[in-house]
Order: sequence, then C-alpha cells, then structure tokens
Amino acid sequence: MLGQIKDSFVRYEDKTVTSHQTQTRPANIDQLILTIQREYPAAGIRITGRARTIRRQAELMAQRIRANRQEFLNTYRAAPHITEMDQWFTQNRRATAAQTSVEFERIIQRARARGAIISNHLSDTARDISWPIGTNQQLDAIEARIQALGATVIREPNAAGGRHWHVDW
Amino acid sequence: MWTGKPASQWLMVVGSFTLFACVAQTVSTAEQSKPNVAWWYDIEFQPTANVVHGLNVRTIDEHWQRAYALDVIDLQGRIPQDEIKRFNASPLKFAVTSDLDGDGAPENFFVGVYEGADGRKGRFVAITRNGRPLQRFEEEGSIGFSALLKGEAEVRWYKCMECGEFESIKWTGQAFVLE
Repeated sequence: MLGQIKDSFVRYEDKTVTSHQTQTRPANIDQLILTIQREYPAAGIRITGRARTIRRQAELMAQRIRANRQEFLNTYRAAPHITEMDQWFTQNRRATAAQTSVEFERIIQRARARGAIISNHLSDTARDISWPIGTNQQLDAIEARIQALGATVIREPNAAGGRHWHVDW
Repeated sequence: MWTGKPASQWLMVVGSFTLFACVAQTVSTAEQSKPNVAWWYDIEFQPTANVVHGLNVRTIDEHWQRAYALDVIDLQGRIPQDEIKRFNASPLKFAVTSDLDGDGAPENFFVGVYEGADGRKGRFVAITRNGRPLQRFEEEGSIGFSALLKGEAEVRWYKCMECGEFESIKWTGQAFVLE
C-alpha cells in the first residue's frame, strides 16, 4: 500500500514538473534558483554561496592600500581604477578606513560600468548551489533545465569548501 | 461594550481583517519568492564574551566591547544533527594552526563575531601566537557563520560551505594580508 502511494506520488511529481516548466527567462538569478527548487523538490537544492559584494571588495582593497601602498600596487595589475584608487589615497592620507572603502566602492562601480574586470570573485549574477540529490541522468536533466532558463552551470566536485554547482546567469 | 453605529463598526472590523489578510498575503508571497538558502546564511552568534581563546577582546581590537569565538558546540540544537556531522567531516574549522610566516612557530587562527564600543557588529578572524594577538581582520555587518580552511601558503576565510567564495590570509614577508 505504502509502495503504491509512493509510486503515485512520484508520477504526480514528475507530471507537475512537466506542466510547470516554461521557457520564460526568470527576472534574476534568485528567481532562476527558485524555479529550479520548485521543479525539482526532491533534489534538495539550496543556495550555498554567493559572490563577493562590491562593498566587500572595496573594503579589502582599502585595507591593502592603507596597510602598504607599494604592496597594493604590486598586488593589483595596472589599470585605470587602480591608478584612481592610488591617487585618491595619496591625496587623502588622513581618510579613515570607512571613508576609503566608500570611495573605493564608487571607483569600482564606475570601473565596472566601463566594463573593467575588478575581480573574478565579483559577480551580481552568480550563485553556488548544493550538489543536487539524484542519479547522473537526473543531474543532467537539472543542468539542461538551468541552461534552458538562460544560465550556465559549472560542476565543482572537488572544491575545497565542499562540492557544489556554480550557476552563472 | 457595544456603543452603537453598528454598520460603520462592522465596516471597520471587516476592513481591518481585509488589511491584515492583505499584509499577511504580501509577507507570504515575499517569503515564497525567495529561494531556500543553507543554514550558514541564517544562523547568528551573539558577541557576549569579554575573553575569547584566553584573550581579553580589547587586546585583539581596542575598540571592541565584546566578542565570541565560534565553537561546534554552538551549532548543537540549532541545525540538524546531520548538518553538524557534515561540518565536522568537512575541512572547514572554526580554528586552525599554521606557520604562515614560516618562522618555525605556528600561528593560531580563529573566527568569531564582535561588537564594537560604538555598537557596530561583524565577523572576525584573529591571528595569535603563544597567547598573544598578532593581527585580526574583520567584516562589519553580519554576526553569522564563518570558518577557516588551512591551505599550502594561505589560510582561507569562508563565510559559507559548499561554495567557491573565500578570502585568503597570506604572509607577504612583512605582514599578514587578506585578499
């Protein structure tokens, strides 16, 4: 009896997934993940990681330049935004860490608007999700569905922090 | 006590219920429109101690009022047991030892949360040697989870598990830096 109920639930679940699938592009990466979570509830997918924020990147760069300007210039490849940060720092030596972070955040935002790549860690459109529960075939189906919704998947089975999928939208 | 004007009072009652239902619906819809996230994005720890790892918190940062060093025991009862097992089985730890500067005397690294005298809160990683603070890095904002992973020439500071985002603590030859 229990087996019959379970079988009918599985069939119902599969049918639901099919009927709910659309090709409409989600509004953002979180909506895309939500769509996948709803369509594949048995896969136990959850968001496990987010990319670094611009604010945090600015804080790290501000800490570096305040600690040692020369090291900062050696660490980051020469680029207009690095020159801009260095000039601002040189002209505002008495600025606090918070003030430096705020200004660096503005510089990063302007640089990104020009198309500059600040850091590979920086992205507004990427999420890490848990490795889905399921067979290889089911995993392939989930990946295909994510791609159909407009995102790319990089499987990270050997990531030091734990295996996951990196989804970029 | 009933004071009259039944029609208008009924309208007020019905209106209030309608408003409440609308608010509840809005909250419910907002909740439903967010994807599920892992526990490490929800959990918080309170900076309640004056001493962490045997150190007065003001010796780590003179502007701190209180702090708290994370410990696995703090996860008990707050997340499912199998999640605790997964954390314990992972390479991520709340405290690690590593000789990053290569001087032969290992440094101790541990993570926690702090509250400054001005009320600002956040997460930190502290570096100590022989019970003396060497340096600390902090991130203002969340008083949530973070953990460390010992690497070859770095100690990684994660604020998540099963993820690729982390910051690296390195020795430049002159100082510890976070990048």
